[in-house]
Amino acid sequence: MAIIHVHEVLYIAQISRISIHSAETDKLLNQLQSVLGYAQRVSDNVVDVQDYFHKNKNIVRIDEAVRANAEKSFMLAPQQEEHFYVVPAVL
Amino acid sequence: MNNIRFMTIDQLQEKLSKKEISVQEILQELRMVCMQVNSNIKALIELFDEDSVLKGYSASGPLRGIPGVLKDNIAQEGRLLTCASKILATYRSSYDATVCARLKGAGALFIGRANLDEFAMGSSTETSVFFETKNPCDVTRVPGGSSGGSAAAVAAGMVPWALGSDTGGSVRQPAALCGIVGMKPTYGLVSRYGLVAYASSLDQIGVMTRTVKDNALILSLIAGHDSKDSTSLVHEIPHYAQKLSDRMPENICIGVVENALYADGMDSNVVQLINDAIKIFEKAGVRIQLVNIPTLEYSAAAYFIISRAEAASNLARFDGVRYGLRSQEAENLYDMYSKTRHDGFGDEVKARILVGNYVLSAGHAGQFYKNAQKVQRLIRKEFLDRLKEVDLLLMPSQPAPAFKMGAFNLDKLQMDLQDYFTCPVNLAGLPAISIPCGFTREKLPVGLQLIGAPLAEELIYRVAHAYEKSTTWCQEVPKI
Repeated sequence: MAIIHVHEVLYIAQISRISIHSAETDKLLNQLQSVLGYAQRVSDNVVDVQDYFHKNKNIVRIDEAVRANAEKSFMLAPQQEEHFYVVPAVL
Repeated sequence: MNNIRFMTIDQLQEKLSKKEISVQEILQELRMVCMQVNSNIKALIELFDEDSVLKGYSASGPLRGIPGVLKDNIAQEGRLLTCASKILATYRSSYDATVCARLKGAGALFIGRANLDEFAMGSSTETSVFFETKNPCDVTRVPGGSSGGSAAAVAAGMVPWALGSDTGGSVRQPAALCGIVGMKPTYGLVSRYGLVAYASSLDQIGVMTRTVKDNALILSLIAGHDSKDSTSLVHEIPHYAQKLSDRMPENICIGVVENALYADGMDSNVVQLINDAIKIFEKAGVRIQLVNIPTLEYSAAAYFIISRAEAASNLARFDGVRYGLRSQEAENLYDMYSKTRHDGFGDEVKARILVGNYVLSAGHAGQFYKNAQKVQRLIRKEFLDRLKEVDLLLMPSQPAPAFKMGAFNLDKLQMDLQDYFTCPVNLAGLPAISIPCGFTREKLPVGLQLIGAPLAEELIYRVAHAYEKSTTWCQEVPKI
């Protein structure tokens, strides 16, 4: 398997929205390399078969409005104001 | 004191019906056991006070007054729901999971929240942000994971039943390592509404008990269709416990998965004990046939990819906006997301999210995710093909007995491979039970798996119960 580079780990961390400190990079890099190195063996198996579960179908709930207790949800928020979640500035 | 520790649900119900003990006495006595044992084993993150346990308690139903615990990734209204993670350390659930509501309706008492690997990601219960749980059979060893708190609580006689969740073996592997019974039902049999999602195409809530009969009773109560879980199956649930007999069902053929039993790295003690169990099955009239599942050797790799890809997606919701931890150092919105997730998730969870996003990313999805899906389809086919030839499959639950705490700190891959024999069953969506099959020379428990076709729980329980009745393993209790 190709070697994973530090810049790739940092890029994946960025799209995962997880900040990584420089002291953590080597450990994470080794862990990713180890797991992905093992996982790549799925490429050795090129056989494909029809999915036995192909007849399954999605079952979804009826799309109907239900009365929910918004208070309960807002009570759990780290910061809220008049039924809005408050977050830091976007820009 | 009535000395009810280690009693089965069956035995407690008999005492209740004869009025030899009251519900309050059972609760008080088992809470006492929990307080004594938990300081050492650390199976429970929280033991609830007596008044709150009895609040709203339904005094009727098949599980009237029988205490148990839920893994702390299953919602209990008004209780903390932490997933053993800093990011949810103060999160309180506003509703009951369907399994919780059904058991409450059946009269069960919930006396605590069981420890787990953070977000159910691990095989040793060492990644919990709170503390490591110890194996009651040997406190220098792990109880397995991720439902290690649930397994240890049952094995140590703190409660007669517990629920866990099983994504790649997290009910069966700790059950095997602690010497108890663990059932992972068919995908879709038990509602996951209220279970914090890890890998949604694999997650299933499972039951942990000291006997097969108790296990069958609990599953009968939690299984069945639930419109709140879109993967829930419409299926009539038999009363599994009432179908049990001490006699082995007739004309049963069990396929022993040869390339699992003799896989590289198998502990010789485990192999010997499983071979001894096979002889017991044969003596009971079961026909044994050797079978092979060649794709087994790719299953852990496929599991790593699929579970982590789904985890990356499921855990994206924890960002500090609507609930849970929020970093106070953020200057803007992106900063808040990334610092909250850095501070809130432990190392293992972060690593799995990164692996998940890597295998899903453009340029890598073909090599990893799409190939893993092919392996998954092949595994399903091979299992289902074998299950047309035999009634049940038999495999080890674990490659080796419980390992020492910290044994895999420097080699996380070996820790992940503890799921080698359990995760293919999740990939195939099949039901499987782990039952005790003896002890190693060091007195460590070993389990074996019986795997059935979809919705074959009744047959699995009947065969497992008959086997259990011809052995004494379930009567062995840890000296703690």
